[in-house]
Amino acid sequence: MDLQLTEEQRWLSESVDALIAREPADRVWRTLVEFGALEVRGDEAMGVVELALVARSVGARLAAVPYVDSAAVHYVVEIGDVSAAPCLSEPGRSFAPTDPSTTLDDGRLTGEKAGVLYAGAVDLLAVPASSTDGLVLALVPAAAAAITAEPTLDPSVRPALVSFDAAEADRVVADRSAVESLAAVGGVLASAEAVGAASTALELARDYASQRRQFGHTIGSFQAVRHLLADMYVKVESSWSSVLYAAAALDEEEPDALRTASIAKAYTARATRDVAHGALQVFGGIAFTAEHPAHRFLRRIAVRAGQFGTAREHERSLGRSLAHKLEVLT
Amino acid sequence: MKLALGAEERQLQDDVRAFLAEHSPDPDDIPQLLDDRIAYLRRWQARCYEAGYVGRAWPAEFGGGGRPTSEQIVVDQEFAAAGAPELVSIVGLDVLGPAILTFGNDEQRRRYVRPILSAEEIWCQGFSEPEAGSDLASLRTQAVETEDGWVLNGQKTWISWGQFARWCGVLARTDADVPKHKGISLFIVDMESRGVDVRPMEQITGHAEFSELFLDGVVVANENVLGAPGQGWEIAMHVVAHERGTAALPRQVTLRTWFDRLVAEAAHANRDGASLLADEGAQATLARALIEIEVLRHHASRTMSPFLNGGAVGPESSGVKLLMAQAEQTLGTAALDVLGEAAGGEFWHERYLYSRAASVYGGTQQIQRGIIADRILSLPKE
Repeated sequence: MDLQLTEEQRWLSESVDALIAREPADRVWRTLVEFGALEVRGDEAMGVVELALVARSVGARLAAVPYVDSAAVHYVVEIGDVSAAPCLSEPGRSFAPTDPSTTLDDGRLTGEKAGVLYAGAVDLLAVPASSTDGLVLALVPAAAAAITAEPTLDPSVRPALVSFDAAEADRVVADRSAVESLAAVGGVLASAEAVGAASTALELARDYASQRRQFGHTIGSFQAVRHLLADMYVKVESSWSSVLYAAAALDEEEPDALRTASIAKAYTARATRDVAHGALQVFGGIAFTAEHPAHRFLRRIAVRAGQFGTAREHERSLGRSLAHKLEVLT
Repeated sequence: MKLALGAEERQLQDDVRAFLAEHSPDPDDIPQLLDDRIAYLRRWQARCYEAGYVGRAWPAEFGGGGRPTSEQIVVDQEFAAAGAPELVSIVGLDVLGPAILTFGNDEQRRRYVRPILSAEEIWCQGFSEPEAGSDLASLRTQAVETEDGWVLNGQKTWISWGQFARWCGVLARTDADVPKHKGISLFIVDMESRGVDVRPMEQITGHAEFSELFLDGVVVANENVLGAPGQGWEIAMHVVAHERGTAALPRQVTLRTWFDRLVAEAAHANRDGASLLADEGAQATLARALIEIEVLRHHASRTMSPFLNGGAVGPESSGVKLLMAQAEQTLGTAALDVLGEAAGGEFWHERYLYSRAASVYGGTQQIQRGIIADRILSLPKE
């Protein structure tokens, strides 16, 4: 067992980071695609680990691109060079991507999905639906859906409610595992983006604590602040370990890969939010001003935490599975 | 990046499982009386050593197996998964043995390493003192050089297995005129020397694995200094940081076996006519405990990867230690919350009480945070 990144993986991570830093915001998406950040098939195929490295860089620089979303769809279905967004949550229902109330009837999709990030910006929507063939994943052009912006903590990712009224599907994948895989990979990549955001928030807070002086001392010399930052560091690093472990488990098709992904999502959602809260605390009042960057990391983390199942939803399903296994629940 | 074990490691895993299935004793067969228990555990470790499962990665010329470190971790995890009895020379295996291998001379390696592996000689560590706990570098035990060797005077505490140890690694001040970290040396003290007095202490779990150690004019020969005089602090910090990381991988397996036991007990216990495990609150408590154990596995696996593959581990092991203590304490508390304080019974009482030590031993949580703040985040000193 070896959980160290390879030379190639380190190179990938550094290249993508440099690329996102260099490009103007409106060119980041196109440059990522040209770089090959969505190539999940063929000789140079990226695995979930590589996708997670890119997603982390996207989060670290708060790039507003549908990378996590598109990469998850690309990973499960071959769709060419287009952008895409998974539509896994339904309004008023707990996260249950394999039990949709949305239906596919005679190739036409009807139902509503909530919290779809970049819905108005992507080409394609990937929508689990119930049909006479059982659970399917329908691919529908975004233009065929009615898209209504939702209230959100992070307007940069533009979450929306999408409604389908007998919308015609481009393609239908009648494979339950495609939906499971989409949810797991999406959750891992969303977590990776959140870890990226959290790591930058920690870095900024650490730098500030090393300069800011109060009571005649640098505040980073006060034990209460030092220990807060140390805990933030452990949360960033352990979240990243969990994301990488889950990504590797998916790549290597480990038998418990889906459960590991669920654990990584649940843990990372809470841990990265704690890091963002910690950063705001270290900055103090200055971080409450809109022009200060700290709140933007918090916002991104909060929105990615809510996607692909919240921590509470994953914990609940994990707890229920313990009871099922011992036949306490049937 | 690779999660799966290699073919050789999988074969080893099968071999260890077969060995444990045949030889690992039923917990009820292990004597309760402490003296008998230790004698029993020494025989157990000797058998494991003969089978090649102790010191597997230590150099062959000093009695080890000369195999890759990753193999010892496979073995340790299998022992933990099977709930096999503990290895009684744990302090020698985790702390003083590695210290002798890294900082000792060949004569010391030849003399001391093999008996640690075979449990012929048990070691203890004389680091903490009543007035030097977290502030270990302020220790007061003195060592003065004389014609007959070094003469040690002082008091040590929290000596695990002290009453059974043949040797003790004692940190003592050899130079009071240099900064406190620089004037400390590490001595190999024969516990049968004149002037050594060991007094067992009862722990909150009811066991007496600890002792106090009094050193009253104990003479230690020159050749029993480990490393150079003044190098004691460096050696102690090196081996302790190393132990923090390596302990976590088998520990998370042990925590997982306890967790599985807790879930099974909750499933079979009834309240208000229903299984405790049917309760959503209990399920959520258990899920959170499981997540902490699993994340400990993920983080320890990644942090220890450089070491398992031939490199070294630095201050990052402090983060592993923080998570390890937290996972153990979350599990101990979850057991009481889910089963109920009384219904938990002795097994869970002991787990719960013992878990409170997890954030103290090997450097408190506060010490670990300080290490991270200084050495990883490079924050200004307090």
